[in-house]
Amino acid sequence: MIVPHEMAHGTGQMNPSILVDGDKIAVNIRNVGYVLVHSENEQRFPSRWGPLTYTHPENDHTLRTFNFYMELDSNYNPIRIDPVDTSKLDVPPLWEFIGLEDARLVRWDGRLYMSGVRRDTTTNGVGRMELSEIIVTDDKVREVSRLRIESTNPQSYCEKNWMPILDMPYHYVKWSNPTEVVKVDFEKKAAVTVFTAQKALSGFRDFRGSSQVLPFGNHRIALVHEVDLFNNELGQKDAYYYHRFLVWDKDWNIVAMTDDFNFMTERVGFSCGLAIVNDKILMPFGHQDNSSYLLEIPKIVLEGLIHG
Amino acid sequence: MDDLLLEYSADPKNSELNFELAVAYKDLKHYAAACSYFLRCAEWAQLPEDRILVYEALLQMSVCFRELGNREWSEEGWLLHAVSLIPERPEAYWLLSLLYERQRKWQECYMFAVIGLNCPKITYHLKNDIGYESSYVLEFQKAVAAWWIGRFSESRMIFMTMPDRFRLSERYVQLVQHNISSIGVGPCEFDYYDRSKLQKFRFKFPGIENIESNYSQVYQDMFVLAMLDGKRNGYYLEIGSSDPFHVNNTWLLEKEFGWKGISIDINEHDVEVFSKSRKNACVCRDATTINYSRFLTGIGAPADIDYLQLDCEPPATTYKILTSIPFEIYRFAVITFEHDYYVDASRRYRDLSRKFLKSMGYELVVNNVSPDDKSSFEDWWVHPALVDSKILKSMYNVDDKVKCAEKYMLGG
Repeated sequence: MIVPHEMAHGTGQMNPSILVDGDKIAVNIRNVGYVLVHSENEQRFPSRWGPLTYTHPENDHTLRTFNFYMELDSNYNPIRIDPVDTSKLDVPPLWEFIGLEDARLVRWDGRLYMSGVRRDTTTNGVGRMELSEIIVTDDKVREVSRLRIESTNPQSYCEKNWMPILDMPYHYVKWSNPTEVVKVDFEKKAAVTVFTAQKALSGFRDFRGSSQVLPFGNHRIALVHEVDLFNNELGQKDAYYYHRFLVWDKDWNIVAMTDDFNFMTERVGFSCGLAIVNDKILMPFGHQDNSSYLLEIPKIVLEGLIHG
Repeated sequence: MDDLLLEYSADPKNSELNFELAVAYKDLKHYAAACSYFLRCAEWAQLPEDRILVYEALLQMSVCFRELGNREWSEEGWLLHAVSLIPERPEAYWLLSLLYERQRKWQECYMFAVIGLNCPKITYHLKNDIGYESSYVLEFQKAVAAWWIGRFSESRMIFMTMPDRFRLSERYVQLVQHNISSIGVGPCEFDYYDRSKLQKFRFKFPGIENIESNYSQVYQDMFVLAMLDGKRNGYYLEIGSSDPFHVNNTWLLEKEFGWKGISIDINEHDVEVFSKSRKNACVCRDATTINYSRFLTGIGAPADIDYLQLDCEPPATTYKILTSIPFEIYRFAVITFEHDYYVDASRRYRDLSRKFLKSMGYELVVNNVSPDDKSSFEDWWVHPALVDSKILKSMYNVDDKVKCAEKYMLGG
């Protein structure tokens, strides 16, 4: 999935989300101003700053995110690509991460939303999930409302990667292990915990949110990610990302999961979406924060997780 | 792209496939994605077997960052990796030289051009074009940088000899021409006539004994008078008059021999000085845009004009003007045509002008006129029906050699 150069200017196109929205396949792609450089294998050719580098313009180290809304036809070819116009609600940024990051698409109560993290409203980069309603017209995609959701823990520095639950309006899986489900209280503009699992599964890295949470027969399914963050012998940071599917029963017990995996053997990748179309599962993913793809998986493969 | 991706996803550590995918993204100007795959190519390739592929991938990384702009520290880093991998290949040095040129780090720009020029001849070409056409691109960089570090003669020498030493692409012909035009030919050499040279003069025309000194750069005014046997009250068309006195071909004609005529120049200052200080007229116009038929009719020029001077720059411009003169209506007894062969990076316009003037019935009297023994810059022509054949015979000197104007004019 490619946003043309004229719109995205050749920099990273990453962390795609997807939503089957009526008869449409809608996608959101995050465009950033950097190029991620990640040396793999023996790391013979690290960048001048180390093996994992966000290469910004040398006179602009802000991390700006622009979102592009795309619709695909049944062969997954793009039939429209529009920048999401946020100008009506934008205010001057106070921190260097600017824009709505890692937005997941969701339709709740007939309204189409993008929900991601924003970190530009305070001078120290406090991140909170936001729920932005977007209106798609023939020639434009506009953000028409924006709700900043206070965390269940107001002291937390950055809340991100909450996974919207497609069949439970305004509910998110905030955390996966132990599973915590929250609901948006619109009056208080805050999240309220509605479920917390009593026990965490042991022996795993932290499960962090990736896709939306989808109904899956009598279960729910989502893609989550895990990260190994480490430093090399020069103290330069590096990271490996892993992904896995989690399956919950109707009581939010994790009843199945896949082994961890990566996309095309990459070490850095990310996904913000999952969709089911007939007998197929569609999983978009970003490769090294630089490019985005759509993976099609037979649904039966994941059904085997539950029944196999 | 779709087929390539399918193939890639089945073998994502294949360095060749990574390279191909990167190139496909680069073609789409999706440079971030291209960088991902060029680097994967470099990291997963087998070394030393695949070193040229890796070298090329690193160069392409640098090019991608260049295209993205404002990431020069990264751009340089990938090139330094490439140099470290294969220090005997020239392309990385050339790209480094280009980078330092943009940064106006002229010493570095020069140094890497020189290092690149000392690389052995390439026996294996890269898979994809990065703009490195041949070793002349390094010569070009060296010439550019030489200028800015103050090596003016070296810079000029490289630029002026490049067209003869290399088979340049059209792009580099233009670049070399542009640079020659920008830096000029340096301090002008002059060969002035003065009375002390009278005895040696090739053809002593009536009135020469009264000439104290002339004004042309290399005897053009004296040539015109010689060919026309010291004609008085003649008429000229001077295209590219420049300064009205210094290195001017018509001032002697006007002042000492009573000629009339019209001069044209694009430089407003020169035209203003000319108009204030000389009796004959000078107009400020772009000589390439004039309808000469209408222009000459408008000023009442005679059908037989005694002297046509054509001296504009660059050579393509002078030639263009030549072909716009209405030779079917006007005849010119003497023509001095500045083809500037020695600074014509295309080396085309001398031959084109010769073919053209011959086809118009003109006869070449002396070719490859130069202020020295090496800088062929003008040809001098006559219309055989308008000059004395005896004079023509005595002045004739056409062969392959470059003629120092003074030696030619004092050859009698």
